[in-house]
Amino acid sequence: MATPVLPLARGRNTARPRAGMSAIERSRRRLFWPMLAPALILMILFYLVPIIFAGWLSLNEWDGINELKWVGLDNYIRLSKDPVFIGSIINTLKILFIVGIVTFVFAFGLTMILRDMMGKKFVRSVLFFPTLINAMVFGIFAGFLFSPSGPVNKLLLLVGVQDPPKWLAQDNLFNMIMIVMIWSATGYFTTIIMSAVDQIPAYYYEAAGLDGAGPWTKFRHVTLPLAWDVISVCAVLWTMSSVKVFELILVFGGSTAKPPPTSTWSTALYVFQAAFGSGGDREFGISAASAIVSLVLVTVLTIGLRRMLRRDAVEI
Amino acid sequence: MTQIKPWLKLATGALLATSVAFTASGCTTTDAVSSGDGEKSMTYWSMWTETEPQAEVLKTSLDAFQKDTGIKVNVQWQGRKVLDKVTAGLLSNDVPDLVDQAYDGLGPTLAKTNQLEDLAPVLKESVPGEDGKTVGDVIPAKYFDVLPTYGGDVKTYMVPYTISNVSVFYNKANKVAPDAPKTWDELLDNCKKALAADIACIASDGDATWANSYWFDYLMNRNAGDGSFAKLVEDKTGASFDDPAVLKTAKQIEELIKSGYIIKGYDASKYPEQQNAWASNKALYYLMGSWAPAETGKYAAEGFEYGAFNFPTTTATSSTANDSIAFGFAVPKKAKNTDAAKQFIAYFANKDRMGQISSVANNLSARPDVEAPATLKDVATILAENPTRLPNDGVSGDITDKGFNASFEKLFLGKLTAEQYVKEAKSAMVAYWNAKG
Repeated sequence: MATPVLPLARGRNTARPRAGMSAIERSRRRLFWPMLAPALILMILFYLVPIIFAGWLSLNEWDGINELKWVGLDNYIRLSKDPVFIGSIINTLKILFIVGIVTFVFAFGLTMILRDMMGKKFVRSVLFFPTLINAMVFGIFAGFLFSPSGPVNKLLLLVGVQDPPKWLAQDNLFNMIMIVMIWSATGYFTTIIMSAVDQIPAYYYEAAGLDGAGPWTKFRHVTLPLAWDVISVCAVLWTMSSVKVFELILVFGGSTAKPPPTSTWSTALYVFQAAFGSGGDREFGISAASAIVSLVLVTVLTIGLRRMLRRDAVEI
Repeated sequence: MTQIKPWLKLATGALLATSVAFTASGCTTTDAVSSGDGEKSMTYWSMWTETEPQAEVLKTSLDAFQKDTGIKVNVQWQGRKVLDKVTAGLLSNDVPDLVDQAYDGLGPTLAKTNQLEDLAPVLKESVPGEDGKTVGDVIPAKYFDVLPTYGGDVKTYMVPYTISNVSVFYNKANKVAPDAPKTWDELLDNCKKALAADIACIASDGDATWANSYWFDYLMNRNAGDGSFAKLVEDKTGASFDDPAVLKTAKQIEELIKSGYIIKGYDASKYPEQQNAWASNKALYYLMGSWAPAETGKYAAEGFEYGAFNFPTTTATSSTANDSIAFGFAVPKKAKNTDAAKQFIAYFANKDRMGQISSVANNLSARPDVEAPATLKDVATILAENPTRLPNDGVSGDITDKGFNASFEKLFLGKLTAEQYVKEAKSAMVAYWNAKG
């Protein structure tokens, strides 16, 4: 798909009308700043300023009440020595790559199956359903479903499994969290990818079929290239949302008002615990530093991913 | 084509900009408390939510206070996260005159940074309606003595009105081991009896490390004396882990696990599943806060009679100190009506008023002369008869969450032997302090 390039975006002084332009052109240019300003002001106020403030805060020690104390890079040095923070980065990367890859494999698989299926709209709605449920609901229900004498183990007993897995044991906790994420994200991405696949004219598949292509070849040579733009956007969306995973871990692993075990923390949870942890110690400097590290992480990964997935768009 | 007039374009742009700006600021409200035409008033931000029985109790007294003194009280039922709101309010000087929470919330959040008034003078105030008695006369001094300052300058930064504690709960009507054990060996003997009677000895939910670590905390206290837990986890060199008492403590916990005394499936259950199993007589003992009877009431087996005993001693010279968790009032220094707030603290200390904490809310009041609710009679006796300490010796929650818990979890879930635990816990605590800088 070719993106139309607006003449407005070219050159400097875009907003100033010039002689010899058409009336429409001139009025467009006059409206450029008035139309852009509101969004720009909001972006600066609610995104840029907080980020800059967080960056500055990360170089200070602050309990949220007293004066800020300049500590330079100390907070970052402390983070680099903190095994809990390093563990939380590893967990975030696990969510990004393991959950991401499995989710996309499922989404592609479902896309291929659903394309030719009867009643695909209904199935698609069913698949999308988990996205509508707050992941926290599952976090709370998991305690009941997977408890040692819960319904899941009772079902397994019926089919002859005498010694069912310890679902909620500490070792399995993070795996369970990842499974829930896959379960709730698959439907979402399947829906988006399906909408791109729906735009691919059927005759491409018919032609490929006549040439003897099987389902895999059709996917590889028709679906994938023609839906590529949407897929790469999905990958970026996933990257950004995976770094923010928070509430599911908090509810899944935490009991009452206490934080979940550190072995399940993501960077987002670390940021929260440093600022509002159950201990009452408020370390906003450390919290800001870990948030900045997360921001750098997501920026680097997103840029890397965009480069990796960059391809010439295919015109349908 | 009709030309759009330049002024119209500008006006449209300006209109768009202002409408967006207004939408963005639409959520700003003005909730400043007005004190009317010079009448006295005070603001109270509560840790309770409006529908809780504790809120009912406070509401009754606040209404009476308003009637008796003419001081108008503005209450906001903020809930447990009330201190986050106070912290945020401190930046804009918008703080309540009175606030309440547990010592481990008020202390590290506000007392540490010297944001709370010294309430020692309030203890000398007389309690309205009780001739000659002062606040300090009716609330035991030990609840104040035990308060950690967290590095702040003020010691008496709160006045407790309700006390929770941590004890071993059991069903007094049980046939397996009706007598409460006093020593660790007696407890283990009863565990054997429980296994013989085909029930578990100890209930526990594997994910509730905060509760399971009470075992370690109490055993360490019994083995090595008061303050030993704090000494252990606050030692930046980790050398305290070489104390034989630590290995002894770890071995005692290992024995509970290896002997199968802890309820089956505890390592894969989510709180409060096994707590409820205990209430339905599937386990003999449950080490928990004094909220356990209230939480398990509807799961309790027929004829269940709530009893509790102090954590057993491990040696003849063991400490018998009992965990107390005080919840009470505090007054921020930046508040405008501190006198009115202090006046209410003394007003609420009255036996009839504070007594409703017991008779209406079914909690223990901070006054020992108030009759305890039926399910907490034993707890009240334990508190009255023993010295007071704090869970985990009052160390900051961050130390346990990020330093102590991870290796303890492995010990308690049977993944480490006592010896392996001591080694791993030592290096975990050293790493924690190293990262703390």
